Amino acid sequence: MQLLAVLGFAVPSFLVALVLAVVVGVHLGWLPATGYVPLADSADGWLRSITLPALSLAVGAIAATAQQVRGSMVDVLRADYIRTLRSRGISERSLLFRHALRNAAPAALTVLALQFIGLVGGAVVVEKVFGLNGIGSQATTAGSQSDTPVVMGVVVVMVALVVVVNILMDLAYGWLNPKVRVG
Amino acid sequence: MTLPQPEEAAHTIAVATPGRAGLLRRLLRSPVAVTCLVLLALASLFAPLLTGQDPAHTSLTDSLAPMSGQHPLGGDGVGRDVLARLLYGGRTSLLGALLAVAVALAIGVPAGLVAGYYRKWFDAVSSWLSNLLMAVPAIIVLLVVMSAVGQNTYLAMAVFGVLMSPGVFRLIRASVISVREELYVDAARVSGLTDPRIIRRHILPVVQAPTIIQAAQMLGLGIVIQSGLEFLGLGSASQASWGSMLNDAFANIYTKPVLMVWPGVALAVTVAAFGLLGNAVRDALAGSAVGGRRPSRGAAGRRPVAAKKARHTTSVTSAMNGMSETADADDALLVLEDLTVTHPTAEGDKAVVDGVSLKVRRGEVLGLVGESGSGKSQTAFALLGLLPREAQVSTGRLVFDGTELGRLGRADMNRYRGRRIAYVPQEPMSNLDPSFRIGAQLVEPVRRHLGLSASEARAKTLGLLERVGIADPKRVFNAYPHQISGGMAQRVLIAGAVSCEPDLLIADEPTTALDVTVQAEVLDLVRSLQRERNMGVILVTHDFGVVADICDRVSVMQTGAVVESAPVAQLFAAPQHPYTRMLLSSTLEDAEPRAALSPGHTVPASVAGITNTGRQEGPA
Repeated sequence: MQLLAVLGFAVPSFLVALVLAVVVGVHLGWLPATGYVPLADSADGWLRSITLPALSLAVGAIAATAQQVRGSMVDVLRADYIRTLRSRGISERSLLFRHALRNAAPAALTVLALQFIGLVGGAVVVEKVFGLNGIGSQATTAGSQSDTPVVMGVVVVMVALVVVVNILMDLAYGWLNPKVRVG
Repeated sequence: MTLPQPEEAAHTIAVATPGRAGLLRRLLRSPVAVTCLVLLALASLFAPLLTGQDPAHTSLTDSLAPMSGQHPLGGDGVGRDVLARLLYGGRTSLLGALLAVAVALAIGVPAGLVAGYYRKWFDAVSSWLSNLLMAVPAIIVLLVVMSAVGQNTYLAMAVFGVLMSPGVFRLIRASVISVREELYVDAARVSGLTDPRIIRRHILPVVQAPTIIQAAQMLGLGIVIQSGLEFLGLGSASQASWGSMLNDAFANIYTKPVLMVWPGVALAVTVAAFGLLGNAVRDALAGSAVGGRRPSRGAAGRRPVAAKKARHTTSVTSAMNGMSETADADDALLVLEDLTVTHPTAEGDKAVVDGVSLKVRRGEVLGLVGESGSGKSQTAFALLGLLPREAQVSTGRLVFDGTELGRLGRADMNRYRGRRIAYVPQEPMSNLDPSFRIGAQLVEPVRRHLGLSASEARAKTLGLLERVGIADPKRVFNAYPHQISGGMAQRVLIAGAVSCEPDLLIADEPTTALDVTVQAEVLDLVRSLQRERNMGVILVTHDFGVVADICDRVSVMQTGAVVESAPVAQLFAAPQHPYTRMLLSSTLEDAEPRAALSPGHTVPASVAGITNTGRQEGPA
């Protein structure tokens, strides 16, 4: 389990993307290896075209989040209040999923926020693998052609995205942790 | 003895400074990662010896050539030798990653040290800058650099080093701030050591370990980003690299997919090896940190194998055990015979409780007295089945109200815990779940054990809060733990413990963490609840004043064993065991045991501990 997490965490998402594209896309032919179908054209086609890219991006984030949740669960389960709750005879399920997970969640959330930045970067490469015409491949093309204005535009959009996501994370953090609530 | 808190655990890891030799030895215990990396480094270093081929030499006749003597791994899309490109590509990857990490460390370490040690404006400015850098996706910045300066792998990696430096900076800064508050650093400053000297002698050794972990992770990350860029076709075109090999393989994905395997495997193995290395360092450090600071708790969690050693049978009966009574009385609520608790430690298993026997009658208050570390709390936890999983527990007998608790499974035990046997902890603030309102925490067990409806449970809980002396029960019911005081939290915990009308209350130093005035009130509350409900109580304490005030019988513990058990009056009048006499004399000096308790009696300051509780005799 630990080893799986390390592998998932370590192996770059574009490598996962390549393997998925070759195995699932080319050899098995279950899902399209390249190309993008807009949602407006066909919901089914969109879902099929987006599955592999999303999966390859998610693997690393899943592993990182899992590791973080594991770590903070280990810490929380050692806490005094868990022992006291246990002394009151509440069920192990409530102990784990209600009390421990709730207290471990803020740490996981922090990792998710950081992951998002990494995912935006990862998308740049993954888009190339799956032949997606996203903001990432635009940046790549502009970068290799030294088209600085376009690259700058991409940077601004991405930073704005990161800021918005961080604000959402902060709001969620306040919802999870009563101590940081205002008012 | 309490379990380590999360913050404390994190702190322990940050503060740990194991010897270098020990660290190396531990690292060699994860041979896979180390072997992979050493092989990789050697292969890249001696690439010219391992292959005679030029990685950049193209030959159209060898395009997509099969494996052969001349090309052991075949040729790529433009006829370059795959093996040569793999070996030379390793050079590019490792050198690039090392460059990035070197830059990150060169910026992050000094900046982190200065910001953490001196704080002030430098801290504010550099923290702001580092947050800014962290908000930007690295690969995009690299694209900008490439578009402005041109495509150069090593330049890109140096820039990436700058982008990674906030990670190092934050880590170093946080560790420095935490050590800076340590008393020994204060002591060094008071004794007049200069700042650079303090940083070198006391701060650097502490930050060294987490920095190594971070460096290992950054090496992996550097390789990932670098190959990502090269895969996009943004590296130095003339240099062989794994990323550009993947790019070439991707172009030939339909004709020769096997080309993808070699660089893919090399990349995955390298990055995973760095990841494993970082984890191994962290585990090694965490293990030695916990083991070093808390020998009795040990590196237990990390060494479950050692914990499995059969200690079940070695319940050593202590020499003084004959003094504890045999369990023949019919009115016994709880009979414990021959309890042994063993914790695995780095130096082998250590018995913290060794052959303890206790008996509590219905409605009786038993004091469990001893210095810290004598095994009082461990005994209390063992009765409740609350010891950490790595602890080995063996009991001769543990009978509660006619039921042998030792044989109950977890689910069955949960019908006793909270319902029939309740527990009041020592530290009020750390024993309430910080994420839930107090009301919710109190209602949950009541509903579970007594099967009440939500509104009934709420009414009962509000009544309980009022009973334990909380002036505004509704407000406390709806408050979060951080919104109430320590004394109030302890009342809440007592309310929680008695909520299901238990027959036995185990209170583990319920007053130690409280103010002197609140101590007396809380003790008074425990006593009145005990009388009102005729509960048996086991009161763990180190305070003979509390014992004299509230207990009917006393068991004195020393180093994991009960050395003397007697009714309170008898123990105070004629202590039998030398240890008991020593404890008593250190508390009471030569005063008559009960004399200090009479109301209005003036007592010397040395027995103040008794008067705190004794004062309550008057109004009660």
